Amino acid sequence: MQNTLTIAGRQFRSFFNGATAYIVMAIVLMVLGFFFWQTFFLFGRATAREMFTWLFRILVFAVPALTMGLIAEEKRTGTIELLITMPVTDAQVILGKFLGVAGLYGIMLLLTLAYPMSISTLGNLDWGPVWTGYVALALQGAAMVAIGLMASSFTDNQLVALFIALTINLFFWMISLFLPLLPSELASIFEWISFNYHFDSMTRGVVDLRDVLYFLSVAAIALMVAFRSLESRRWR
Amino acid sequence: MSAAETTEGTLGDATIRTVRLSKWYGKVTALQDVSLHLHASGPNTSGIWGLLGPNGSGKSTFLGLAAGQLRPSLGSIRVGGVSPFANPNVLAHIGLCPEADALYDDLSGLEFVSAMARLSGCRRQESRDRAAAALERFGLKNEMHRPIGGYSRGMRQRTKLAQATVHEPRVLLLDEPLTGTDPKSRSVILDQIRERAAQGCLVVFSTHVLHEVEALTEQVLLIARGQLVAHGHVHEIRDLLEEHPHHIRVVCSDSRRLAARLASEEQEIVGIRFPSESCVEFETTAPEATYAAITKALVQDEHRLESITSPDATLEALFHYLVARGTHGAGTGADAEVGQHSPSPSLR
Repeated sequence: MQNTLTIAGRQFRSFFNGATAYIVMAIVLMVLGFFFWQTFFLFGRATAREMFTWLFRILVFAVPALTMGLIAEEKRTGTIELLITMPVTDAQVILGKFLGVAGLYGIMLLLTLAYPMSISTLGNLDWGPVWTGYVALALQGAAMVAIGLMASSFTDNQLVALFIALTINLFFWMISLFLPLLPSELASIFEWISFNYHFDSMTRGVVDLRDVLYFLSVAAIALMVAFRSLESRRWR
Repeated sequence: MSAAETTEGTLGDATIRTVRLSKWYGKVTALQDVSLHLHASGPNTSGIWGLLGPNGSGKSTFLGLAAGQLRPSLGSIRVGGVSPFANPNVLAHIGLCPEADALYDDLSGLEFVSAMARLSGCRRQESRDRAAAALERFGLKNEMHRPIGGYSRGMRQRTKLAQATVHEPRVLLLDEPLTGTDPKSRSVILDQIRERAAQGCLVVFSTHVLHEVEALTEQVLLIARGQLVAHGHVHEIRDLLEEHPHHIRVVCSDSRRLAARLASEEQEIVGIRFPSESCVEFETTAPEATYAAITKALVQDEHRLESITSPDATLEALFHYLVARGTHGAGTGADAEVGQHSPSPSLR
């Protein structure tokens, strides 16, 4: 566990040693603020539901930007060789990287609390759906961070990693938009695998164990693939 | 299983033993049929082994295999009696300084080496203390709090060595540790390597420069085209260099007259050819005497000289020569025990 936390800590600090964390967090908060407040007063209701919808969409793009360099940059610079010569397992490397980004993602979510707090000063905000919405964002974030980490483990080019992660995230998001075009049997399957299906029910204030398991399963599968991908370097 | 081999998966003696070790990437053979046994300092050995070979000869592949980064395609490698491949128990006792200039530029030297010590199993405070001591040993006391991104090449090299030694490994693998270093860095690095070896650490370092080996050790392994072509003491390698037929190329106004005179006067010249009309190439077994004779003839016969060069005054030429001769051992003084599977007899 010490090794995992050491790698996580190093990854977390590296975001703040450079400009990456600040830039991504600033962009997320600004874009969220722009879209959310633009329509907020039109509805005239003290609800954060729209905020979660926008945040969901923004994070589909923002998370790959945070994860693209996790392994790809280490491969490009050669520091991955240093890391795998240490007495650490590949699983510890993957888990450490995952936790490092998850920490930054958590801080980003904490900063967005400013919006529901602002809403609560304008009206009577029901905090129940807000908290379940944050649970949904945390779970969706875990899945997207794992997908980004997996994409980063495939290549030594950050842009390629960004493109792969973005494509997968967009698939899990956009697939729900094409359901009317699909046969009913397929539509129900694709509806179930889309992020929206599980995310939306949580933002309504319902935490269903199946939704939780869905996001955790996506994260676990992506982490497993990332682990195998990193491990494959040794088997050349 | 050898006597030194352990069953627990932990390191036994500070040794590296390979048996018919081969590694290839697709159709490219990086290392072929290498059998040897290297050990730490003892009655007849300093514990420092120079792995000498031209670029692309397989040195880094050998170190990668010893460091557990790569899996052998064929044969076996044991570090302290245990396979190092993906084996954290063994890796905790190995220190690797890779050739690539790969460091976390955003961290300070102290943060980087501390993190590496932590990953090697040290506690937080211990890792910080050890990192500070290691960086100080490598002359980076005043720079350890600065970001690595601002370090010079020599400082970066010393930082890599500090991380390789911070956990006091029993086997130290150094890939071209002196590349790009200034005289001060070089002196510090050499002293530290000697100190580690004196403390019982097995040190294997790769280089393509013979005098770097001479500065550290008498024991050398010559590797070329993925094969161990010779092993032994540095002076035996020097003897081989002298034995190796030497080529001298002269471009002058009348190359054929010069060739005719030297062919009649110098018995050491064993071959002459004319790559172009104004150029003559001598093959000699006594380079110094032949250089003197060429100079004398050029002056006495009043040739107009354009150039005197040697196309093969490099170690690479020696490696090609050894490969062509099918040799596999430089001398009787070798402490490296080349395995019984070596494909060709020792050079005597």
